[in-house]
Amino acid sequence: MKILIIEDELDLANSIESYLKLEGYVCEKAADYAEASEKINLYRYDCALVDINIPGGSGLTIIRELKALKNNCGIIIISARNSIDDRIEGLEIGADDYLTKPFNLSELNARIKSVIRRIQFKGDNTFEFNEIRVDAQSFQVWVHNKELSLTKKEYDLLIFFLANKNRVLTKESIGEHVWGDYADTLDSFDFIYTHIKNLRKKLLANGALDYIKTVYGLGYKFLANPDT
Amino acid sequence: MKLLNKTSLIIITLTLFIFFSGGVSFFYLIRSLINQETDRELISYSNNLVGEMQLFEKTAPNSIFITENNVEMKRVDSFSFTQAFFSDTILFDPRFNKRFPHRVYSFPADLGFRKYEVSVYRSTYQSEKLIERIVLSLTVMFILLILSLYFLNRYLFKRIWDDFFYTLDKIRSFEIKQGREFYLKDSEIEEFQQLNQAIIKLMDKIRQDYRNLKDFTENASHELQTPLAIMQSKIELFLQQDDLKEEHLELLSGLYEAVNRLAQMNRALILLTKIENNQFPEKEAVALHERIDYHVDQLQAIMEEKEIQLKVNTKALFKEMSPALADILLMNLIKNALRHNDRGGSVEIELSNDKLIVQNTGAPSELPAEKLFNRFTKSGKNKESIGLGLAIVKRIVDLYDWKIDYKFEEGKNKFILHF
Repeated sequence: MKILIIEDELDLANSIESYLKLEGYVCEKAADYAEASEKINLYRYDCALVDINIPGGSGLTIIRELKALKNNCGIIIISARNSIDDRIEGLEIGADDYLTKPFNLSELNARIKSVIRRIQFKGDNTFEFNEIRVDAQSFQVWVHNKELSLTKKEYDLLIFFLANKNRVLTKESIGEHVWGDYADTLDSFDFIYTHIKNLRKKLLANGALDYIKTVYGLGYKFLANPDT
Repeated sequence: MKLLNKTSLIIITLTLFIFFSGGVSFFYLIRSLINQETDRELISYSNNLVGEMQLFEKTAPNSIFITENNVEMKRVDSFSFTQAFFSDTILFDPRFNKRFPHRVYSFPADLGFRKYEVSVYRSTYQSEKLIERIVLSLTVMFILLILSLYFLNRYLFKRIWDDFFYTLDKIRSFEIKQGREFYLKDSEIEEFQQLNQAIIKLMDKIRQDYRNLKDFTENASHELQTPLAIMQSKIELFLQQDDLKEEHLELLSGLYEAVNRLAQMNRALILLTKIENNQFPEKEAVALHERIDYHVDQLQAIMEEKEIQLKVNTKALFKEMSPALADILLMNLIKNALRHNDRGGSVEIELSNDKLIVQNTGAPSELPAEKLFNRFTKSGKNKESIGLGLAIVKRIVDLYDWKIDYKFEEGKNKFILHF
């Protein structure tokens, strides 16, 4: 999987690259409009992360060019400007998602996975991890082919974990992923614990391995190989 | 007192005074002039009369009263007065069966053989009538003059002060947040033109300062986004290292939380600036009751977690506003009611035609109601809160010219939004 990171802040681009490399993605970076335009015309990417404000042009133009190429590249806008107009325009001209800076890398990673899945597996949006199977279209989950009955929040949690296996996920990033703008209503993120506990219980009861591990003081980690 | 009334009053009192005193002296002047004339006539008549009396026979009567000429002669042995004098009297005229005012000239006439006291009368009825008419026409003229002065003053006032009121109107309707250019039309009157120029200069300065301040806040918060994003991402990357010890994790956790709070704060500040910059111009009829249901639904899990009882009583209400701001407003109010609540408490939301009430159990705010909506004011015990939620609520409420109040009643924190 190849990802193009169009971002003029080198530090941020490097962080994104490092995180995505852990996930096994091949990343390339473009720091300005010319470079980005050249790269998308020369190579094919599975997903492009586009900053709207880049030197030499607009990220929106890049999105239009990408769309004109019709090569099934997922597009996620990463912008410092949380402007509704930008968001609407970006999504209208064909971007798949929109993230406002600052964002969690785990969130970005989950969004990339979801976008790529949507684009590349049209019609059949299911994926598997060991004994767990997920249908992202009907929001159904099976363990050993037995359907789990999960709440919406538990489902969101599971997807987020599956997208970020073996990563330390902070309580804050989990809270924001699952509760979005409502995340700051919680006095502390401690009550995420309840939901995670329930999810874990349901997984275990249906014969899944104990994948979810608590990381002291910080959050949680979904271990790909819990026995090792 | 209005300038127009003030000037009218001054003009009217002044003219009243001038006309009254002028009128009175004019009245006396005319009267004395007419009297003088009458007296002269009386004297000249009496001179002729004395000449004629010299021709009297010795048989002339003792007393004669000649009505037609209004002459009265009385024969005396010795004069009761020696000097001629004038006096006023009222005589009955049988021809008209009416009394008339008369001027009388009495003088002693010594014919040598006889002595007479003579009085010559002249009716002053005509001249009195004349004076009356003069006074009447003067009064009419005076009233006309005052009326015309009054209307002239009004007219002049309107013409001259028109530019002034235009300027005043412009200043009144000026709203700095709208960011519109401030202009005034030129005035023909130099003083007003100077005033206009001074005001335009002042307004430009105010606008400039306001814009600079706004730009600063806007730029500062936008520029902060990128470094914050870098910090957050670096910490997150750091967390993925396999060989981190517990104490490292603890340090990173503290750092991560702080950056996260900073990011939240910055996001709220950007939102505030955007509301102030009027960057939510789109308006549509937002179904507030539906939006309340939506947000309540989203927060269901959190309420269950805190064992909070929820009571929602809404009537269908549509408001012309930005849908994005409607959501932010409702979300902030409801979140606030949840955040400052006790475990096992309650939240009540009531929506009627003219107001929205959100009330929750919990300790009363330690802050005075008027400070509650200020930026960065928060009670000490709530560390998670960044103190901008209610400031954002207030901004949105202000934007649509609504009103919001806070009260603590019957053990409940009550926010009342009047549409």
